[in-house]
Amino acid sequence: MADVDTLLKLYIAAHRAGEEADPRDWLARVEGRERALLAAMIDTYLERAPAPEWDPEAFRQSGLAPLAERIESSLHGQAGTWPAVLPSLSHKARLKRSDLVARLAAALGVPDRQDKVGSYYHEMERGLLPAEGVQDRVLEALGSILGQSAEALRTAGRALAPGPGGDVAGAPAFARAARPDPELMVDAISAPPADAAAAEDEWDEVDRLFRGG
Amino acid sequence: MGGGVFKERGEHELAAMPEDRLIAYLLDARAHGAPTGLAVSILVYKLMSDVRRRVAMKVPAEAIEEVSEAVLLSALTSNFDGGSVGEFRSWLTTIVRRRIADYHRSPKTDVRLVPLPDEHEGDDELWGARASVPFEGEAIDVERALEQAKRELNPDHLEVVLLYVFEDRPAAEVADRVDRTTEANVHKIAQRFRDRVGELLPAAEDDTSTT
Repeated sequence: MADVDTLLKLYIAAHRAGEEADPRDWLARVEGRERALLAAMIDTYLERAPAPEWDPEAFRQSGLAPLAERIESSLHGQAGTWPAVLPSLSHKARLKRSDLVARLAAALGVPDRQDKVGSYYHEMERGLLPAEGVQDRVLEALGSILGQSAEALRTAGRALAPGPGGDVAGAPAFARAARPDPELMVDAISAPPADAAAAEDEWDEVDRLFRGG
Repeated sequence: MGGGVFKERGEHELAAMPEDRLIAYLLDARAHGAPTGLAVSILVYKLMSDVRRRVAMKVPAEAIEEVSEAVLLSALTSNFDGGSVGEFRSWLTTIVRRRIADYHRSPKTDVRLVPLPDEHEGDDELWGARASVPFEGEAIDVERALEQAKRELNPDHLEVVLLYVFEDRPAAEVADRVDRTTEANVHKIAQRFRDRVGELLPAAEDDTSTT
């Protein structure tokens, strides 16, 4: 265990010094059981290691802001973790939003209604569209495009448990989730739906798909 | 929390909060419809780098971001109800292990879509059992041996081992921090722990690591 102990000490020193401290660099120096032992010991160290001090500038440069914003949208939305996972899934599938929307509209049999489908998809990504209203057919089509099952998408869209003592749905902060996110809006093909009265007048197949349950 | 008066905190106060209090603040703010963006940002910043490091040891490089994001998403959207940083870190460890196991169990489903258990959240037995996927047999043997050896220690000796072995604190400092412990005892406790881990590990043909 001596070599493993030495490597752990070196790892801890590097981590405390603020270096990159990628454990894989240390694990590459040993094999077999020693490697597994070092991994478990580094993991135990990291479980208790002090977190870095908050540094707004470092946060801005870390690329973590979009993730934080997507989690924030999930916390205040009505669609579970859709705001956090849908953008990640489309990124993983290497799909621009405009391409995704075009494929989704085609799969739903409404290729001529891309703008409206895009508006609803935007609402799904922002947590503004209650997930229970979205029909299985939409999730099946979306799941097929994103390489995930409709059931998994449905489960992710379930409303998060409210915080202690609170009913999140309808809370005043909900409106903040509608703030434009420049990064996510790059590929947006349309604005959110127009006012409710106009929408009611134009209730159609696309509305039924996304709001008809 | 949620039922009482909520007071919004500024950046300086939030940045100074221990993680468990920051999570509690986040839940409370959410329940009151108050802004949570800054608390989320601080937590993501503080937790992500070490979560990535831990995940990187157990999944392929191309899955590190997916699994790490799933950990953060779970940690910040579930209701942590513990009362100390230690409990929070233990809970986070459970989520890390769970998400790594989810990745290996269902490689076709994005881990970010896999729900955490609806019930018994924080139930180590349930979560632990579901997390124990043999993604790497040797790793499981080692983790079990370490956990068993730690479980056998009394609280003072466990603290000695955590500080001296896993945090590389000087023996003199450890002796100062743990009651009724001398520097010599620290060395003995650590050596007994190492020996015990070696005893608990199954015999292996190439085992040269525990002497």
